[in-house]
Amino acid sequence: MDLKKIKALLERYYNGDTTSAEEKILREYFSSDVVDKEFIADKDIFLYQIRENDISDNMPDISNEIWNNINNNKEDKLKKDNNLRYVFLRIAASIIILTGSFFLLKNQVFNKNQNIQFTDTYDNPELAYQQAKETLLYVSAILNNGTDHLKPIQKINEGTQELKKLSSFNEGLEKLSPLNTYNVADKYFKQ
Amino acid sequence: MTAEAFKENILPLNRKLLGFANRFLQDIDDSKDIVQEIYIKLWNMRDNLDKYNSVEALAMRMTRNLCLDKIKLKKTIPLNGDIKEEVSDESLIKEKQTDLNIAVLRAKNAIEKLDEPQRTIMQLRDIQGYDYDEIAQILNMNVNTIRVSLSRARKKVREFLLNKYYNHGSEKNKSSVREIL
Repeated sequence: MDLKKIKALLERYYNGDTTSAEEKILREYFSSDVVDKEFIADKDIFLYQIRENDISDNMPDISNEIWNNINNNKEDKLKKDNNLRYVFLRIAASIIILTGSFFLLKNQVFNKNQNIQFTDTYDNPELAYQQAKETLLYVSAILNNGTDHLKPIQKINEGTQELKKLSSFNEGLEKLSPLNTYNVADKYFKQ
Repeated sequence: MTAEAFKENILPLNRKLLGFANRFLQDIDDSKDIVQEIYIKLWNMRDNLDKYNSVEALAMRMTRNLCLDKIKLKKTIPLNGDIKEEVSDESLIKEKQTDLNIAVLRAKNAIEKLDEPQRTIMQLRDIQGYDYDEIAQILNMNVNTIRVSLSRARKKVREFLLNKYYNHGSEKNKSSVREIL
Protein backbone atom coordinates (compact mmCIF):
# COMPACT_ATOMS: atom_id res chain seq x y z
CA MET A 1 0.00 0.00 0.00
CA ASP A 2 1.28 3.42 -0.94
CA LEU A 3 2.35 5.31 2.20
CA LYS A 4 1.51 8.65 0.69
CA LYS A 5 -1.98 7.50 -0.09
CA ILE A 6 -2.47 6.24 3.46
CA LYS A 7 -1.16 9.49 4.86
CA ALA A 8 -3.58 11.48 2.72
CA LEU A 9 -6.46 9.23 3.72
CA LEU A 10 -5.56 9.58 7.39
CA GLU A 11 -5.56 13.34 7.09
CA ARG A 12 -8.99 13.22 5.54
CA TYR A 13 -10.06 10.83 8.28
CA TYR A 14 -9.00 13.19 11.07
CA ASN A 15 -10.76 16.05 9.33
CA GLY A 16 -13.96 14.02 9.21
CA ASP A 17 -13.98 13.97 5.40
CA THR A 18 -13.51 10.29 4.61
CA THR A 19 -16.28 8.20 3.08
CA SER A 20 -17.21 4.80 4.45
CA ALA A 21 -15.32 3.16 1.57
CA GLU A 22 -12.16 5.11 2.35
CA GLU A 23 -12.40 4.18 6.02
CA LYS A 24 -12.70 0.57 4.98
CA ILE A 25 -9.44 0.88 3.04
CA LEU A 26 -7.75 2.31 6.14
CA ARG A 27 -9.09 -0.50 8.32
CA GLU A 28 -7.78 -3.08 5.87
CA TYR A 29 -4.36 -1.45 5.81
CA PHE A 30 -4.11 -1.34 9.62
CA SER A 31 -5.19 -4.93 10.06
CA SER A 32 -2.24 -6.05 7.92
CA ASP A 33 1.16 -6.78 9.44
CA VAL A 34 3.05 -4.16 7.47
CA VAL A 35 2.04 -0.94 9.19
CA ASP A 36 4.61 1.83 9.12
CA LYS A 37 5.95 2.94 12.50
CA GLU A 38 4.88 6.46 11.68
CA PHE A 39 1.25 5.43 12.18
CA ILE A 40 1.68 3.77 15.57
CA ALA A 41 -1.10 5.71 17.34
CA ASP A 42 -3.44 5.49 14.35
CA LYS A 43 -2.97 1.75 14.37
CA ASP A 44 -4.41 1.52 17.90
CA ILE A 45 -7.50 3.43 16.84
CA PHE A 46 -8.19 1.26 13.82
CA LEU A 47 -7.45 -2.00 15.63
CA TYR A 48 -9.97 -0.91 18.25
CA GLN A 49 -12.52 -0.21 15.54
CA ILE A 50 -11.98 -3.60 13.97
CA ARG A 51 -12.33 -5.35 17.32
CA GLU A 52 -15.48 -3.43 18.27
CA ASN A 53 -16.92 -4.09 14.83
CA ASP A 54 -16.45 -7.79 15.46
CA ILE A 55 -18.13 -7.51 18.86
CA SER A 56 -21.05 -5.61 17.33
CA ASP A 57 -21.41 -8.18 14.56
CA ASN A 58 -21.46 -10.97 17.12
CA MET A 59 -24.21 -9.49 19.26
CA PRO A 60 -26.89 -12.12 19.86
CA ASP A 61 -30.28 -11.73 18.20
CA ILE A 62 -32.82 -11.47 21.01
CA SER A 63 -35.87 -10.98 18.77
CA ASN A 64 -37.70 -13.91 20.32
CA GLU A 65 -37.09 -12.77 23.89
CA ILE A 66 -38.30 -9.29 22.99
CA TRP A 67 -41.41 -10.59 21.24
CA ASN A 68 -42.25 -12.79 24.23
CA ASN A 69 -41.69 -9.89 26.57
CA ILE A 70 -44.02 -7.68 24.52
CA ASN A 71 -46.72 -10.36 24.58
CA ASN A 72 -46.31 -10.90 28.31
CA ASN A 73 -46.60 -7.20 28.82
CA LYS A 74 -49.91 -7.19 26.93
CA GLU A 75 -51.24 -9.97 29.16
CA ASP A 76 -50.01 -8.18 32.25
CA LYS A 77 -51.98 -5.11 31.24
CA LEU A 78 -55.18 -7.13 30.79
CA LYS A 79 -54.61 -8.78 34.13
CA LYS A 80 -54.06 -5.41 35.72
CA ASP A 81 -57.40 -4.16 34.37
CA ASN A 82 -59.15 -7.22 35.75
CA ASN A 83 -57.33 -6.84 39.01
CA LEU A 84 -58.56 -3.28 39.34
CA ARG A 85 -62.18 -4.46 39.18
CA TYR A 86 -61.50 -7.04 41.85
CA VAL A 87 -59.80 -4.46 44.02
CA PHE A 88 -62.92 -2.27 43.95
CA LEU A 89 -65.06 -5.26 44.89
CA ARG A 90 -62.72 -6.08 47.75
CA ILE A 91 -62.79 -2.55 49.08
CA ALA A 92 -66.61 -2.47 48.93
CA ALA A 93 -66.87 -5.82 50.71
CA SER A 94 -64.48 -4.80 53.49
CA ILE A 95 -66.40 -1.53 54.05
CA ILE A 96 -69.66 -3.48 54.43
CA ILE A 97 -68.09 -5.93 56.88
CA LEU A 98 -66.50 -3.14 58.91
CA THR A 99 -69.67 -1.04 59.22
CA GLY A 100 -71.76 -4.13 59.96
CA SER A 101 -69.49 -5.35 62.73
CA PHE A 102 -69.25 -1.83 64.16
CA PHE A 103 -73.01 -1.58 64.61
CA LEU A 104 -73.29 -5.11 65.96
CA LEU A 105 -70.60 -4.50 68.61
CA LYS A 106 -72.04 -1.12 69.52
CA ASN A 107 -75.48 -2.66 70.14
CA GLN A 108 -74.04 -5.52 72.19
CA VAL A 109 -72.07 -3.21 74.49
CA PHE A 110 -75.08 -0.97 74.87
CA ASN A 111 -77.35 -3.88 75.79
CA LYS A 112 -74.80 -5.23 78.29
CA ASN A 113 -74.66 -1.89 80.10
CA GLN A 114 -78.39 -2.02 80.48
CA ASN A 115 -78.34 -5.59 81.78
CA ILE A 116 -75.80 -5.14 84.56
CA GLN A 117 -78.04 -4.72 87.58
CA PHE A 118 -77.66 -6.29 91.04
CA THR A 119 -80.62 -8.24 92.19
CA ASP A 120 -81.05 -9.94 95.57
CA THR A 121 -80.75 -13.72 95.55
CA TYR A 122 -81.39 -14.16 99.34
CA ASP A 123 -84.47 -13.12 101.21
CA ASN A 124 -82.96 -13.39 104.67
CA PRO A 125 -79.99 -11.00 105.29
CA GLU A 126 -78.65 -13.23 108.11
CA LEU A 127 -78.45 -16.21 105.75
CA ALA A 128 -76.72 -14.11 103.11
CA TYR A 129 -74.09 -12.94 105.66
CA GLN A 130 -73.40 -16.52 106.67
CA GLN A 131 -73.00 -17.62 103.08
CA ALA A 132 -70.60 -14.76 102.28
CA LYS A 133 -68.49 -15.49 105.39
CA GLU A 134 -68.23 -19.15 104.46
CA THR A 135 -67.11 -18.34 100.95
CA LEU A 136 -64.44 -15.87 102.13
CA LEU A 137 -63.09 -18.35 104.68
CA TYR A 138 -62.81 -20.97 102.00
CA VAL A 139 -60.81 -18.60 99.80
CA SER A 140 -58.48 -17.64 102.66
CA ALA A 141 -57.84 -21.30 103.48
CA ILE A 142 -56.74 -21.93 99.92
CA LEU A 143 -54.44 -18.87 100.03
CA ASN A 144 -52.86 -20.11 103.29
CA ASN A 145 -52.24 -23.45 101.69
CA GLY A 146 -50.18 -21.68 99.02
CA THR A 147 -48.02 -19.75 101.55
CA ASP A 148 -47.30 -22.94 103.57
CA HIS A 149 -44.94 -24.07 100.83
CA LEU A 150 -42.77 -21.00 101.41
CA LYS A 151 -41.88 -21.93 105.01
CA PRO A 152 -38.62 -23.82 104.16
CA ILE A 153 -37.15 -20.45 103.10
CA GLN A 154 -36.70 -19.64 106.85
CA LYS A 155 -33.97 -22.31 106.96
CA ILE A 156 -31.87 -20.23 104.61
CA ASN A 157 -32.13 -17.35 107.05
CA GLU A 158 -30.91 -19.56 109.89
CA GLY A 159 -27.94 -20.69 107.78
CA THR A 160 -26.82 -17.13 107.08
CA GLN A 161 -27.09 -16.33 110.80
CA GLU A 162 -24.41 -18.99 111.45
CA LEU A 163 -22.11 -17.34 108.95
CA LYS A 164 -21.99 -14.16 111.09
CA LYS A 165 -19.48 -15.92 113.36
CA LEU A 166 -16.92 -15.50 110.58
CA SER A 167 -16.57 -11.83 111.55
CA SER A 168 -14.75 -12.83 114.77
CA PHE A 169 -12.25 -14.69 112.58
CA ASN A 170 -11.73 -11.44 110.69
CA GLU A 171 -10.96 -9.59 113.93
CA GLY A 172 -8.38 -12.22 114.83
CA LEU A 173 -6.67 -11.79 111.45
CA GLU A 174 -6.49 -8.03 111.92
CA LYS A 175 -4.62 -8.53 115.19
CA LEU A 176 -1.99 -10.47 113.22
CA SER A 177 -1.27 -7.52 110.88
CA PRO A 178 1.74 -6.24 112.90
CA LEU A 179 3.54 -9.33 111.55
CA ASN A 180 3.94 -7.38 108.29
CA THR A 181 6.71 -5.35 109.87
CA TYR A 182 8.55 -8.58 110.48
CA ASN A 183 8.29 -9.35 106.78
CA VAL A 184 9.77 -5.98 105.86
CA ALA A 185 12.60 -6.43 108.32
CA ASP A 186 13.26 -9.88 106.88
CA LYS A 187 13.61 -8.48 103.37
CA TYR A 188 15.96 -5.76 104.62
CA PHE A 189 18.19 -8.35 106.27
CA LYS A 190 18.32 -10.45 103.15
CA GLN A 191 19.64 -7.51 101.14
CA MET B 1 -48.18 0.02 12.40
CA THR B 2 -49.47 -3.54 12.50
CA ALA B 3 -47.95 -6.20 14.71
CA GLU B 4 -46.64 -7.95 11.58
CA ALA B 5 -44.93 -4.81 10.28
CA PHE B 6 -43.47 -4.20 13.74
CA LYS B 7 -42.12 -7.72 13.85
CA GLU B 8 -40.67 -7.44 10.37
CA ASN B 9 -39.19 -3.93 10.42
CA ILE B 10 -38.49 -2.96 14.00
CA LEU B 11 -37.57 -6.22 15.71
CA PRO B 12 -34.45 -6.89 13.57
CA LEU B 13 -32.89 -3.66 14.88
CA ASN B 14 -32.31 -5.32 18.24
CA ARG B 15 -28.73 -6.38 17.53
CA LYS B 16 -27.67 -2.88 16.61
CA LEU B 17 -29.34 -1.46 19.70
CA LEU B 18 -27.77 -4.15 21.86
CA GLY B 19 -24.29 -3.41 20.52
CA PHE B 20 -24.85 0.31 21.03
CA ALA B 21 -26.12 -0.10 24.60
CA ASN B 22 -23.31 -2.50 25.44
CA ARG B 23 -20.75 0.10 24.47
CA PHE B 24 -22.23 2.43 27.10
CA LEU B 25 -22.88 -0.04 29.89
CA GLN B 26 -20.12 -2.63 29.26
CA ASP B 27 -22.50 -5.31 30.50
CA ILE B 28 -24.45 -7.54 28.15
CA ASP B 29 -27.24 -8.34 30.64
CA ASP B 30 -27.85 -4.70 31.54
CA SER B 31 -27.83 -3.91 27.82
CA LYS B 32 -30.43 -6.59 27.14
CA ASP B 33 -32.66 -5.07 29.84
CA ILE B 34 -32.31 -1.66 28.21
CA VAL B 35 -33.19 -3.05 24.78
CA GLN B 36 -36.23 -4.85 26.20
CA GLU B 37 -37.39 -1.61 27.78
CA ILE B 38 -36.92 0.25 24.49
CA TYR B 39 -39.00 -2.33 22.63
CA ILE B 40 -41.87 -2.10 25.12
CA LYS B 41 -41.84 1.67 24.62
CA LEU B 42 -41.70 1.30 20.83
CA TRP B 43 -44.54 -1.22 20.93
CA ASN B 44 -46.70 1.10 22.99
CA MET B 45 -46.14 3.91 20.50
CA ARG B 46 -46.48 1.69 17.42
CA ASP B 47 -49.47 3.64 16.10
CA ASN B 48 -47.34 6.78 15.85
CA LEU B 49 -44.14 5.17 14.51
CA ASP B 50 -45.08 5.88 10.88
CA LYS B 51 -44.74 9.59 11.56
CA TYR B 52 -41.00 9.26 12.12
CA ASN B 53 -38.55 9.52 9.21
CA SER B 54 -36.40 6.78 10.63
CA VAL B 55 -37.53 4.49 13.41
CA GLU B 56 -33.97 3.23 13.60
CA ALA B 57 -32.69 6.70 14.46
CA LEU B 58 -35.48 7.05 17.01
CA ALA B 59 -34.65 3.71 18.61
CA MET B 60 -30.94 4.53 18.72
CA ARG B 61 -31.69 7.90 20.33
CA MET B 62 -33.93 6.26 22.91
CA THR B 63 -31.25 3.68 23.65
CA ARG B 64 -28.60 6.34 24.14
CA ASN B 65 -30.81 8.43 26.41
CA LEU B 66 -31.80 5.46 28.51
CA CYS B 67 -28.18 4.32 28.85
CA LEU B 68 -27.02 7.80 29.86
CA ASP B 69 -29.87 7.99 32.39
CA LYS B 70 -28.89 4.65 33.80
CA ILE B 71 -25.24 5.68 34.11
CA LYS B 72 -26.29 8.92 35.82
CA LEU B 73 -28.59 7.03 38.16
CA LYS B 74 -25.89 4.62 39.22
CA LYS B 75 -22.92 6.89 39.32
CA THR B 76 -20.83 3.92 40.33
CA ILE B 77 -20.93 2.50 36.83
CA PRO B 78 -18.56 4.91 35.12
CA LEU B 79 -16.40 5.10 38.23
CA ASN B 80 -16.10 1.32 38.48
CA GLY B 81 -15.62 1.22 34.75
CA ASP B 82 -12.67 3.55 35.08
CA ILE B 83 -11.11 1.55 37.87
CA LYS B 84 -11.69 -1.72 36.07
CA GLU B 85 -10.23 -0.13 32.98
CA GLU B 86 -7.04 0.85 34.79
CA VAL B 87 -6.72 -2.54 36.43
CA SER B 88 -7.48 -4.59 33.37
CA ASP B 89 -5.26 -2.29 31.35
CA GLU B 90 -2.27 -2.99 33.56
CA SER B 91 -2.99 -6.60 34.31
CA LEU B 92 -3.56 -7.31 30.64
CA ILE B 93 -0.29 -5.72 29.73
CA LYS B 94 1.42 -7.87 32.33
CA GLU B 95 -0.43 -11.11 31.71
CA LYS B 96 -1.33 -11.26 28.06
CA GLN B 97 1.44 -9.64 26.15
CA THR B 98 -0.49 -9.62 22.93
CA ASP B 99 0.01 -6.47 20.94
CA LEU B 100 -3.55 -6.53 19.68
CA ASN B 101 -5.08 -6.46 23.17
CA ILE B 102 -2.84 -3.66 24.31
CA ALA B 103 -3.58 -1.60 21.23
CA VAL B 104 -7.32 -2.11 21.59
CA LEU B 105 -7.29 -1.25 25.29
CA ARG B 106 -5.27 1.89 24.71
CA ALA B 107 -7.68 3.14 22.07
CA LYS B 108 -10.68 2.14 24.17
CA ASN B 109 -9.28 4.03 27.11
CA ALA B 110 -8.67 7.09 24.95
CA ILE B 111 -12.17 7.05 23.47
CA GLU B 112 -13.79 6.63 26.87
CA LYS B 113 -12.02 9.80 27.98
CA LEU B 114 -13.99 11.78 25.38
CA ASP B 115 -16.97 13.87 26.46
CA GLU B 116 -20.49 13.31 25.23
CA PRO B 117 -21.65 13.63 22.51
CA GLN B 118 -18.21 13.36 20.87
CA ARG B 119 -17.79 9.82 22.11
CA THR B 120 -21.15 8.70 20.78
CA ILE B 121 -20.53 10.39 17.45
CA MET B 122 -17.20 8.63 17.03
CA GLN B 123 -18.70 5.28 17.98
CA LEU B 124 -21.71 5.67 15.74
CA ARG B 125 -19.50 6.53 12.80
CA ASP B 126 -16.43 4.35 13.28
CA ILE B 127 -18.00 1.27 14.82
CA GLN B 128 -21.66 1.21 13.89
CA GLY B 129 -20.90 2.67 10.45
CA TYR B 130 -23.68 5.29 10.28
CA ASP B 131 -23.41 8.18 7.85
CA TYR B 132 -23.57 11.80 8.94
CA ASP B 133 -27.26 12.26 8.12
CA GLU B 134 -28.19 9.26 10.23
CA ILE B 135 -26.02 10.38 13.15
CA ALA B 136 -27.59 13.84 12.91
CA GLN B 137 -31.03 12.24 13.19
CA ILE B 138 -30.05 10.00 16.08
CA LEU B 139 -28.56 12.83 18.10
CA ASN B 140 -30.98 15.47 16.83
CA MET B 141 -28.07 17.68 15.77
CA ASN B 142 -26.93 19.58 12.71
CA VAL B 143 -24.92 17.59 10.13
CA ASN B 144 -22.10 20.12 10.08
CA THR B 145 -21.85 20.07 13.86
CA ILE B 146 -21.56 16.31 13.67
CA ARG B 147 -18.74 16.54 11.13
CA VAL B 148 -16.80 19.06 13.22
CA SER B 149 -17.33 17.09 16.45
CA LEU B 150 -16.24 13.87 14.79
CA SER B 151 -13.06 15.47 13.48
CA ARG B 152 -12.30 16.90 16.94
CA ALA B 153 -13.02 13.58 18.64
CA ARG B 154 -10.73 11.63 16.31
CA LYS B 155 -7.93 14.15 16.70
CA LYS B 156 -8.32 14.16 20.49
CA VAL B 157 -8.06 10.37 20.65
CA ARG B 158 -4.90 10.39 18.54
CA GLU B 159 -3.41 13.18 20.64
CA PHE B 160 -4.21 11.30 23.85
CA LEU B 161 -2.59 8.12 22.56
CA LEU B 162 0.52 9.95 21.44
CA ASN B 163 0.87 11.84 24.72
CA LYS B 164 0.17 8.97 27.05
CA TYR B 165 1.72 5.99 25.35
CA TYR B 166 4.22 7.16 22.79
CA ASN B 167 5.85 10.14 24.57
CA HIS B 168 5.47 12.37 21.58
CA GLY B 169 3.68 14.86 23.78
CA SER B 170 6.50 17.10 24.93
CA GLU B 171 8.10 17.42 21.52
CA LYS B 172 4.79 17.97 19.82
CA ASN B 173 3.81 20.65 22.28
CA LYS B 174 7.09 22.45 21.74
CA SER B 175 6.70 22.35 18.00
CA SER B 176 3.12 23.54 18.17
CA VAL B 177 4.15 26.40 20.45
CA ARG B 178 6.85 27.25 17.95
CA GLU B 179 4.27 27.23 15.20
CA ILE B 180 2.07 29.61 17.13
CA LEU B 181 4.98 31.97 17.82
